[in-house]
Amino acid sequence: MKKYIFRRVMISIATLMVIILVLFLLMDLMPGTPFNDEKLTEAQLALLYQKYGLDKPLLVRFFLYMKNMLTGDLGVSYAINKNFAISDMIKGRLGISLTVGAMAMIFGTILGLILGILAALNHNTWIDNLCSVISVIGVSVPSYVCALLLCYYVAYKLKLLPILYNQNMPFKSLILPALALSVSPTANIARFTRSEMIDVLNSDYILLVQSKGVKQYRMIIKHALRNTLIPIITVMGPLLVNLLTGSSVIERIFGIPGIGLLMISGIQQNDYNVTLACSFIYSVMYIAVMLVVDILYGVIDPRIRVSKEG
Amino acid sequence: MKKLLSLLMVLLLLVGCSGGNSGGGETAPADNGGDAAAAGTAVTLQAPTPLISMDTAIATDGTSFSAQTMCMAGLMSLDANGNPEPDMAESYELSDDGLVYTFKIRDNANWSNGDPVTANDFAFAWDRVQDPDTASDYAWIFETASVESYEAVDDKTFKVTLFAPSGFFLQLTAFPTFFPVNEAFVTEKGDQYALSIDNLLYNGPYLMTSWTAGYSFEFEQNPGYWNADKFASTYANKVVFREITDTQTALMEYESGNLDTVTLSGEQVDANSSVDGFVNRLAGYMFYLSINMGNNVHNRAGAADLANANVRQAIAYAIDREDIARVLNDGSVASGGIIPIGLASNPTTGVDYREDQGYVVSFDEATAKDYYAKAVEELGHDVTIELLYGTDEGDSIIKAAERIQFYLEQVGFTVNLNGKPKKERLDLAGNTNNHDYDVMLTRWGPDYGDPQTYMDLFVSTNTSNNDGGYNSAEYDALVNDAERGAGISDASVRWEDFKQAEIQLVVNDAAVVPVFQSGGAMIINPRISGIEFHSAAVDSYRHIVVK
Amino acid sequence: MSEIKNHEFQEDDFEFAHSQGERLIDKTYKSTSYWKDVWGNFSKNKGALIGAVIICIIILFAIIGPSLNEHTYKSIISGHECLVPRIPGLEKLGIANGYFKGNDQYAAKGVKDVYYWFGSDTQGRDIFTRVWAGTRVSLIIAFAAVLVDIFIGMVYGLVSGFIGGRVDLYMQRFAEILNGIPTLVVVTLLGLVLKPGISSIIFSLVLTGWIGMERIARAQVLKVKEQEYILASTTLGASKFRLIFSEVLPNIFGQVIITSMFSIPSAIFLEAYLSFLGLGVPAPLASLGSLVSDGYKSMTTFPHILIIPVVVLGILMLCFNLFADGLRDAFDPKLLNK
Repeated sequence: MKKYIFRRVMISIATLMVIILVLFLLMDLMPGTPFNDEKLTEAQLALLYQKYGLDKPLLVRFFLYMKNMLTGDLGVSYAINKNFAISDMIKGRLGISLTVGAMAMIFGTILGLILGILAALNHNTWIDNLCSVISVIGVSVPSYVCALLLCYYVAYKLKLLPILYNQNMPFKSLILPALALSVSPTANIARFTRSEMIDVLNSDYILLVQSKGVKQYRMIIKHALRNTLIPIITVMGPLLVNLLTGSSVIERIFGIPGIGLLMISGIQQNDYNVTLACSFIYSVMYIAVMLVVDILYGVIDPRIRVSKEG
Repeated sequence: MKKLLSLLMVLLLLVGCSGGNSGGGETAPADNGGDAAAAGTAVTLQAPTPLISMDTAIATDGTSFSAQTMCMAGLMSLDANGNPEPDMAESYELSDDGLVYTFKIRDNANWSNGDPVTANDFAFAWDRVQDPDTASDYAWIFETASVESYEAVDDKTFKVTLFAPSGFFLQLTAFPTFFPVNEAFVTEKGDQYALSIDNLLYNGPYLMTSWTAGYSFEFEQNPGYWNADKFASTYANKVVFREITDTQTALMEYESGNLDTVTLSGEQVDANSSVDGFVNRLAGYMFYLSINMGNNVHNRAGAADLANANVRQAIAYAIDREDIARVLNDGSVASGGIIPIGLASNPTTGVDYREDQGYVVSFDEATAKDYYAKAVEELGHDVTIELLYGTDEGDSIIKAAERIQFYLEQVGFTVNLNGKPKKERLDLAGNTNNHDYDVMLTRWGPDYGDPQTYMDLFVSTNTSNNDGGYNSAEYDALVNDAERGAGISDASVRWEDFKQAEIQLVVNDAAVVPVFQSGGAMIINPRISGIEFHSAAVDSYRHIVVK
Repeated sequence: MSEIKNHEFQEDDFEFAHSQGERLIDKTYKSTSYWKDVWGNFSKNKGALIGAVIICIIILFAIIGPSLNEHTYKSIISGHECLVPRIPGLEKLGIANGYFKGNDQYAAKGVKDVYYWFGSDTQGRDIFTRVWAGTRVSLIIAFAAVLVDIFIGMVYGLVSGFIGGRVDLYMQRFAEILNGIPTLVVVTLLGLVLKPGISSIIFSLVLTGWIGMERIARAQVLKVKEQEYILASTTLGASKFRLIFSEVLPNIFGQVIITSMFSIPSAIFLEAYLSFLGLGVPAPLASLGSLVSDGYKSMTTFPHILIIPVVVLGILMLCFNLFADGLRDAFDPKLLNK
């Protein structure tokens, strides 16, 4: 197992290196420059290119970037917060985004599992249908609409929670954004839990467990849920990472200084270093989540580990 | 048991994530907002666009300039009507030929670290803006302000020599690009200067006490400001700006009493226009159609057709500007020409330019159709053009583009919309891409209150801004006469020249088609007053009075 | 004991306990084809049938809806902005009568004899026409993207999961690299390279969309491939190709269908997200996503501009899900008895 994990980590690092290179190439192809402004003259534009070393050939810039990156220097912002070190810009924002994402994932997982299990246990009854409708509404209504509805009713009308993010009470003011964000993972997890659970509940070993007279809740948790989890973990990984990038709209609505919004601004304003760093963080998280998923796979289902090692 | 464990692991992993990271998220200073509001004269304002830079040599956007004007000060500052009044300068003398300004800097003008503000701070700051290493976007403005040279005569005397008299130089000294910086401090901080509140020095009426990028920035009164006593007794002692881009939640936040100002989108105006505190301010931005008529390097069919004067006249008459302004509903008004309302007034009569000149463009569908028919006859085919516009410059731009398309198609054009983010739009239309566009909906915000800020855009020698490649000897001659000929000594000749030039550009040649002047519908809490909007300069939040 | 020893069996000592049942054992069923079976199961599922019918109705409207009145998706009528729905006939019942907050909007604008069935938007365009034109665009985008997703993703996942070992490792790394690059960066770039339009959006959705399908397919294969019947086939000398496509594929098909039905809303949503960033369908073309994000801006003032596309979107999604459920059950008949 240790050997397997080590190998997977090494592969992940290599994957990341390739991703940086690809990102760098993409960045070079991006249209426009970060410095376009109605007021900027041509001579000044050339000066800016020179100042930030953007006039150098692509490969030179790439190696310079890699070299600086090893020392923790991700360059400076060209447009969003002019001349700010990217590492400083990201430091504060990453934590907030991760907090919202994780809170959303927790809400989503708990609600999704409950809905999914309820639906599966009451397959083809009104409970099943109700759970399906709830989860379908979840995937049918865009998160920004949910966000605004939550804002309007929970925060504005009932005054239960703050409308906007407030750094003096980060947890309290992040509940609504996390709820809005958790709508889609809830629905997805509920759907998968339901369909997997139905599969599992129909399998022979559950029949055996039932015939042994094992209590229902024990059967569900000990036998059924575990086998249901494998495919669910597969969807949870990407869901988590998608939350982090998909959160930009939520961040905008709730005024959260997060990384999703930063990345979108970076792309729109051609702030190369910001886009590069945010994309890279996204990639790191994605690869890390995939790694964890793969390892968890092995923990939950030893057959996979065996077949992989073989 | 092992099965339960694995489930727990998944959950723990997630919880762990959140726990570990929430710690990292709270690095920003915790003290702000709530408790200070109790002090009575604290206000919280919405900043609809983010603060980009606190470095006066680097900033280019309104929010940054307004923030800088809060806590830094130039030789002059603007009063409520946009007229310059002494700030760092106690007084100034102007030589008889109007070329030499000698500023006397106040003895009690100090930096927030105790250093006195000296003439050298100005000289250094102005050098710094023009230094290629700074690569300031605004390096050209000294030329526009007619500055020939400047020197620190002594610690408290700063002398500026112009190459031609300028009616707006004094006003420009209140523009942050002309603000002083403390040489010793800037040199010491190097790259880090102005990147955080610790790396900033203030000489304005407020001190910046907190800045979390993307979230908020806050100011408290500067006890070391030369006019501190008046400020302490009159104006808000704390001003908090909260960066909120979403108009819907911003309005809810305002209605919940957590904000003192809120900017409204066009959709929100009707429901709120009778609310106490609703204002429709006119902003200086002029949105116009830039027509590619001389730069058709890409051999675009649309751009080739646009060389035909009748095609351009058809466009100019086809657009119902009043209707566009009505649909935008955000305080925007129809353009009467390329010079916006409230930019400058007649030097002798004091009448606003727009009123003086009258509305020189108008909507007339029948005339537009006539011109279009003539154009089709001359060209031998129907005209298809592509309209380039910005997709990230506000909803009103997209709406306006759709309306323009509609109106042009009413006349007979086929119009394809090409929406691009601003940076890409400017890149496509600019020199680097050899002006790859037909018609572009673009804007220009004035840097100073004079028609020159617009007129300079379309002279044939301006390679940076004259994207359409407008090249008219008549226009060039008129602008040249105003700025470098008879206009130098006679302000009314200059004024008339500009008026003639506008007619030439907009009416005779229809080389640009002005569409609308942007506005800002907003609600200002009736408990505060004193926010000063300057359509041709930086908005000032210095003089907020809390009732 | 001795009595038993001497016992002799008589003819009538035993009789059939369930003579009825005995006969049934011998009964032979008419053999039906796989697809007939699926259809049989599907048609028994009421929810799925309703879903399928409504999808058909929506598709029908997407085709004919935009030409049911005199408006086009981009025709602007100045002065007709933000009108609430007004439907002839229904207005007498007090619903959809053009009243907004107690005022007759149509009378206020002086257009007493005009009917906008779904109201008009902030530009004065007919929402009815735009919703169906938008539905058409969204359906085209979603169907095209999902079809390609299925083909690429499923084949890739099947091959990767079934062959396993080194091939799996490399194939997964490739997918990981592709997926590791944020979709938005890729899509923005495509926005420049390709001309803005429906086809470039489909292309950018496909470029990253197939990976989700691939992961599901692979996970399913991993689950299935250790089962006995595969072992049996292998032992009987079935080729890998045959194993993948005739043994494994049918057994994971249900899951893939469900996943692809989920890809439809996510494709529509990603498109909406792109519209939000100015990279979606070029204005004034509409899609359900762009209509929703446009309507969002008027949510607190003229909610009908948002509600109508959201409702159409929601019904569409609900039906796709019902339909997918029905398909899933039909593919997997053992669930029917449960």
